[in-house]
Amino acid sequence: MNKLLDNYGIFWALIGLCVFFSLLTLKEQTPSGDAAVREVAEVIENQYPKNAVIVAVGARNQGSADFAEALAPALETRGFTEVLTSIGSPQDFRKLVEELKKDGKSLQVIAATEDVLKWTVVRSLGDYYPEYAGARFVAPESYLWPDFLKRSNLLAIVDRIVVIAIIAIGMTMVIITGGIDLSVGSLIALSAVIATVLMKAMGGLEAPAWVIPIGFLAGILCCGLVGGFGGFLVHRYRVAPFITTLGVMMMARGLAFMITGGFSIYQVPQGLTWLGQGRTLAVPNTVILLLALFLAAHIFMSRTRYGRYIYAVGGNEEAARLSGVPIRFVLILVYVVSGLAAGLGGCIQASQLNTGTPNLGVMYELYVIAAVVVGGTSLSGGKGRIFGTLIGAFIISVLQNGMNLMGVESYTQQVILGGVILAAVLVDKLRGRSFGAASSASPSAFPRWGWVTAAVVLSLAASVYFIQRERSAAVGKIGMTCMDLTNPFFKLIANTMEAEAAKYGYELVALSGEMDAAKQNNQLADFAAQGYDAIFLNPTDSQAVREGVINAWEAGIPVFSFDVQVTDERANALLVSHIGSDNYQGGRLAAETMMAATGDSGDIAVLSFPEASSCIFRVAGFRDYLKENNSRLRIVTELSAKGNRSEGFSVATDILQAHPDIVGLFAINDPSALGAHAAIVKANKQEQVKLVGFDASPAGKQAVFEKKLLDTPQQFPAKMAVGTVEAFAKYLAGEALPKDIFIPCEHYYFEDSVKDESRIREQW
Amino acid sequence: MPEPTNPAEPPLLEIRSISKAFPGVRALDNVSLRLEAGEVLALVGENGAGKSTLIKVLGGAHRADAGELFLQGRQVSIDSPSLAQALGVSIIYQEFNLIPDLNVRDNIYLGRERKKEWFLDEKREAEGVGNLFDRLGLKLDPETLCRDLTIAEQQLVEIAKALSLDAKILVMDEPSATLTRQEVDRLFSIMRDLKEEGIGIIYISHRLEEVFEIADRVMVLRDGRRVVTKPVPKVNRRRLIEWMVGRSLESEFPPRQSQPGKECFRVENLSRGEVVRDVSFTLRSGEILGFAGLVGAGRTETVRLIFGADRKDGGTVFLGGEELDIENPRQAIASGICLLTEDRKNQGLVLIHSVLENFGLPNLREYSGPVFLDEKRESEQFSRLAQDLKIKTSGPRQDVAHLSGGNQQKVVLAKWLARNSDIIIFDEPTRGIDVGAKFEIYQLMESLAKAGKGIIMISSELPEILGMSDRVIVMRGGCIRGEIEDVNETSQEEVMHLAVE
Repeated sequence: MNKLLDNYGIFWALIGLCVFFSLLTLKEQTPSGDAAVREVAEVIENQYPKNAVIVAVGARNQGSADFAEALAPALETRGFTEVLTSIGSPQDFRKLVEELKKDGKSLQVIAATEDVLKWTVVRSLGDYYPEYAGARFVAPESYLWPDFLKRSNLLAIVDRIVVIAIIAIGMTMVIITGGIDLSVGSLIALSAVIATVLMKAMGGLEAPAWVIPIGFLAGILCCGLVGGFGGFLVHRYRVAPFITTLGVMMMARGLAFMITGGFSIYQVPQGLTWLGQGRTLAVPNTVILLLALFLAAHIFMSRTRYGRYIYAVGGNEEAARLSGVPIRFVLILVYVVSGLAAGLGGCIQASQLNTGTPNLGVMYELYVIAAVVVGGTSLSGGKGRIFGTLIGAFIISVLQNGMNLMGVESYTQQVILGGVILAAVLVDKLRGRSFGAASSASPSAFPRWGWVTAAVVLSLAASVYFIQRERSAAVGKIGMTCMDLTNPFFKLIANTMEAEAAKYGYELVALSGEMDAAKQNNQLADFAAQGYDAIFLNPTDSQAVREGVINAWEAGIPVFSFDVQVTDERANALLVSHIGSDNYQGGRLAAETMMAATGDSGDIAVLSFPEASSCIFRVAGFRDYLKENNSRLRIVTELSAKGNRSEGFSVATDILQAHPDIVGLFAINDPSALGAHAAIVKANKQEQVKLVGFDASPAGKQAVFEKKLLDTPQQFPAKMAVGTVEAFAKYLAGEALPKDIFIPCEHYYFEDSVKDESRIREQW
Repeated sequence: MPEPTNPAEPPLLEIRSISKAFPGVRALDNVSLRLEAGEVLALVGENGAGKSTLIKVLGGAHRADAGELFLQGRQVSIDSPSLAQALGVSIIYQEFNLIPDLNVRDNIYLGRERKKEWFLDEKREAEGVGNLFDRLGLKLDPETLCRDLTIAEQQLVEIAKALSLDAKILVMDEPSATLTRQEVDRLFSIMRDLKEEGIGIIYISHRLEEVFEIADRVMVLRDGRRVVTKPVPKVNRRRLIEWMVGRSLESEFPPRQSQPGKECFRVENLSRGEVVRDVSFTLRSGEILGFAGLVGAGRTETVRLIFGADRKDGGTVFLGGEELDIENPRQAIASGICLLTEDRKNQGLVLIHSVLENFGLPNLREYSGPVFLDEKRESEQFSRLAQDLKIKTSGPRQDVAHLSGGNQQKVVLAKWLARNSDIIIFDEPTRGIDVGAKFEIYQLMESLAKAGKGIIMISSELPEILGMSDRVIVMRGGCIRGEIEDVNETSQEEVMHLAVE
């Protein structure tokens, strides 16, 4: 054990972080086991007659539901005759109360766990049903336990890091040889795409299960080959690994997009999720895989000939060569292993998301490298430990999870993460130095350091904890995650939601999914682990968000989607409601403007963004309106501009090159429309090309005012935000909700912009 | 003999009772030293005696734990290398501080570039360099990149740099280790000129004959303590060695007893470009074949070709009568040839790894089962060899970087001895190694020869060549220029004659 701590000094940092977050996330927890049932049953027995009407209410989450289910028989054995149970949503509870009312029965006791007592319909039962105002609530005594240390949260920590940690195995080997592999992030996407495309080709949704391992194998082996190609270049031509793998990184990413044409692959067999989401003997398969791989890698590196060779090549390649080490084999081997690991990571991610998407794994190489370096592997080669890397990966994961639990804002999170990585590496270096020959520091320097650090961490944690407790007088918490919080549209929604939620006594934690489906699913898992009262979801990927939604649903948390719909059928069925603009109708408005402006004849182009379902609807509405009105406009091309300004500019430039005669251009949002406008100005075709945007963002409105855009069908983000919070409030009150709540769009013409005083004032 | 001109005048440098400890080691224990202007003080001692620590304290790279430093009577404390330079103390370390991809002029003015407004004043710099070179009698193009210079030239550039800093005290750490005789002569003549200018020089060397040639006084360090400081005329070589090793020494070389047997190894027409030209020779089992010549004569290059470390243009190698096809060191090792390279730190050892890992590197195949390494067998074999070779380590897990030069060389020896190869090539086996360890390595070579191994030894030290070899091959310009069948009948002059034309 001592040796472990000596070799893996960074281990302390991990423990420190865990203690830190445990203290910070200490919370009153509702017990739900047998003891809690007994306790509540006794309270009721002591205070009420046997004929009292008692309702045991359970929310949909496991603990609460089990509690309610077990309470009824427990009370019946104690002789109570009128015990009813209601398990599910506030609406189910309300139905039960309605029935009671109809039967003219009384209601003395509502027994439930704490989370149920937050429901408005329960809390303010008297307001809805004055006759039941006298009903008393009985809940088990709560206890203090950190959210961080809940089983579900610990699993979420492992789950989010599996891909990065597995890839870090290969990266550790590469870095020990003195190299680096920047291609792993792209290889995740390449592998996922190859695997899913193959599965699609071999039968898609109906494909038999054996197709899955074949797809995986193909993805993994291709990445191994690509890795080997990089290793070959590094050895044969002495190209710096940084540059070699940078090139491979770009090529692999491009290939992934080429293979799928930029789209996500959803047509995958049922069993695909087994690897990433399944469990064996209650342990997630990913965890088993992770531990097995690390153990194997550790043994390989420390107990076999080639493991030693890897260290030797990094320590002094020339000396190793002159000692008969097969340098070429070793170098190619490590890059192949790195490629294979990245390929496996891609398969896991495809399995977790039940999709293959070419934009998976963006920036992952940097997290992987960070994990390796934090784990104590030296970038100059020759030194490093496999288990150190595992610890490094966990440090990153624990940090991300802990900050999500505390509701730290996404951008602050990045700053903190970067700082902690630097600090971890620095502490390790300083510690190393104090043992070095050139210092007079006493050998006992480290333990003292350790105590000081521990003391600082603990006092910091304690103070933050108490501040948190003061602050969070809120009834509960709502988690919100959206595509991109830097987008003013979402910023406005987040701010409005926060203000609205506060009216009902709820605190809103807004996170940015940063266009990364895997990241957003992790955020959903964190919300679920902390037992938030609701989740407002704006999916970054309408299909891949599935696992996150299922996860939240299983934890009994109601999920509302806004703006962008979830298109995965199973996940969509689990949502309470969707609140969004009527994008389809908005697309029709755009088409109407386009037809009028162009005199309804000529070629036009569309800048789309097929990753977002809202944009798909806009384009669909646009196309349908043209068709229904027998328009003579012809859409010559539809290309993705990724919804941003720079892509809008470059894609529109290309379109104008390929189709110089187009008379109109519809861009699915304002940023890409403004990018396109710049391209049109550059080509000097302002008169010829009519431009229609979407969203009526402040910049879009201004552009309409300056006659750059003809129209930008107006969305009402604030209405959407208010609508979402209202839907949640209705849910709590047990009211029935429609599945879709659409907020219609409106035209936004030049005339509107002249009248619109909010055009400049509005800040979104 | 320059006596202090005026006894009242304080010495150029005086170190009083300096001590310095590292964890577990007392590197310097109460060492005092005086250096007069215009004097060469030789500092000798075995590796680990404290010479390097002493000059690092003087150069500001280490801080002494106790003791005082006086420059021309004024007490100073040197806490950084730049302060040392400012005070006129220049140190020329074994590993030069020149930047290979900058030219001579840029290196000399590195960090103190002459400027005109915002730009470099290259003209003024060139003038300065010209003056320095005149002073040193150096003919060198200041525009040459330092990587293109010979080691001797690089050394002279270092000296020029020191002079440009207005150094009053010049410390030279083993400047002659990699120089040829002529280069050493040139260095000495420059040193004599510097003496004339009143510069005090501290000269560190393992080559005792040089001490007698150039030094005025000699100071012997052993185990961090000063053993003695004496004017050179009052000591002899034998006494000096005894002071250094702390015991009396019968001979520098062990008696040779092995008898060469029949031919075991033959090289025919080995060539590589201009570096190695048509080299052929034979080696008998139980023989030590010396390779003499100047640095750059093609000796190292020849053995690298034999070992497969470089690609040969042509030539064949026969081992025990069978032709070998060697393309890389792995094949050479498998055939039973091993090479102990001259550059221990860059080619012989993985410095950041442990003694045991270094030892195992060429032998892992032997210890490898179907999957796992038999680490127990590895460490057993190592401990046996460590005992035989008297390797001093704190344990097999110690980093090899922290060992002394002699012990490092013994680790290299151990790793190759474990191969039990038939042909063992030693390239400068005793470079940078103290006297005691040298003797042990000679003994080992003798016992290997006795066991019937064929041994090739490259050395630039003629006494070593003559003391250890059965037969000597002299190389020059990539070719074999002569072969001396009986070393007892030859002299250093004869070998030099063949080596230099």
